[in-house]
Amino acid sequence: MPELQDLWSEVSQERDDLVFLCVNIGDDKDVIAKWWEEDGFTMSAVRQDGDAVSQAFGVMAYPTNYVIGPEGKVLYRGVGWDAGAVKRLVAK
Amino acid sequence: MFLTALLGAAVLFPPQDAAPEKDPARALYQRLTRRFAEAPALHLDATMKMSMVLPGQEEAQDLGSFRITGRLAKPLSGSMAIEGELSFGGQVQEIAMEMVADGERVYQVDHAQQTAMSGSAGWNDVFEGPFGLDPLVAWAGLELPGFEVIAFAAPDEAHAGLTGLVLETKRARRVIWVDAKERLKQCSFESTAADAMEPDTVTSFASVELPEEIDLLDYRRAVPEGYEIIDLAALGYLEETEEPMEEAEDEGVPPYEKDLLAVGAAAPDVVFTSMEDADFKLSSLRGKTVLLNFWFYH
Repeated sequence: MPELQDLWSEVSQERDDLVFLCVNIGDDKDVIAKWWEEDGFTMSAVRQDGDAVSQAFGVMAYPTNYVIGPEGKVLYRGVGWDAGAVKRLVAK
Repeated sequence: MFLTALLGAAVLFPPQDAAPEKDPARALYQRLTRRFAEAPALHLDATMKMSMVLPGQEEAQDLGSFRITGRLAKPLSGSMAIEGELSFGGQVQEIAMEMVADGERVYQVDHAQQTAMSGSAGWNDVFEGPFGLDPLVAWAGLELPGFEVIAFAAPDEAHAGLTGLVLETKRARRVIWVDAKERLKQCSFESTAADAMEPDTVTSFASVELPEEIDLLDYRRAVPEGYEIIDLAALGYLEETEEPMEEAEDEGVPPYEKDLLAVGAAAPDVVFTSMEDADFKLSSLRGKTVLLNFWFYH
C-alpha cells in the first residue's frame, strides 16, 4: 500500500486524468479511515457491497491490481505488486 | 577389464526403459501414496514455510509460515486448523482459520471473521497447492500431478538417515524426505518457471499418523459456539476441475488468477462506496485511467 501511495504521489502530479481506487473488502470504515490518516494516504479508498466488486473482477487473492483504460477496457491485471507494469500504464 | 567396467555399469544403472514399478524410486513413491490413500484417517502436524520471488525483485523473500494441524477421517469428518502470518506484496495478512468437515459437507469455521481471501487459504488450495503430494492430497484421493521425473535425491547432511525423492514436472520440482519406516519428514516445493506466482515452500512434519482403526463419531465434534460457518461450496472453493492437474499446470494459470478478466475485456460497471458514504459507478470515471487495487487490512 505505501508503494502504491508513492506511485500515486509521483504520477498524480503529472496527470489529472488518473484515478487510484483502493477497493477494500471486509474491513470496517473506521479501520480504513484510521490507516489512511496515520499513513497520510492521498489516493482514494473505496468500499464495496460485500464482495460484489471483487466477484465481478474475479479477484481471489489480495492484493490484485487492475488498470482500466479511458474506454473502460482492462489494460492490465495481476496478482501481487508489479511496480514496473503498473507504472508503465499510469505514468505519462 | 573392459567387461568388468561394463558389468559394473549395468549393475549401477538400471536400463532406461525399465518398467516404472521396477524403478526403486517410483516404487517407493507409489508405496507411500498408496499407504496414504488407503488410510481411514490422517493426523497431521506440519509447519509450512513459504518464500517467493516477487515481481520486480531478484531475491526470494520470506513470506512467512503456517502451522497446519489436522485430524480427519473418511468419510470426510474431523477438523483442520491453519494458523500463521503471510506477508505478500508488502502487506501482512494474518490467517487464523479452522475447517471442520462433516460427511460430504465442508465448512470453513472462522472465529476471527478473517475470511481468508488469499490464494493459499482455500480448502482446495490446501489440497492442491504447494502442500502438494503430501499427506493430504494422497489421503483425500485427489489426482496427483503426473510427475515426469522421479528419482532419488542426493543425500545431504541436513537429511542424514533419510531417503530423498525428487519429483519433477515442467514447472515444479518437489523433494520429499522419508525415514526408514517410510514416514514423511519434510517436503520442499519450488516452481521452476521464473514468472510463476507460486511460492517456494518447505513443509516439515512434526507428525503424520495413519491410524488403522478409527471411531468416526470421535471425529464429528460439534462446531464451537460463536464460530461463523461458511459453506465453502457457495464460495466456489469446492468446484471440481475437469482437467487433470498436469494440464492445468501447463496453462500456467494459478487457481487464484483463473477468474480474472482478460486484458482487453470490458470492465463491469460496478458500484463503489466512498469514504463519505456516496455510491458511484465505475462508468462515471469514463475518460480517465483507473487503477483498482483490491486489498484488505484485517
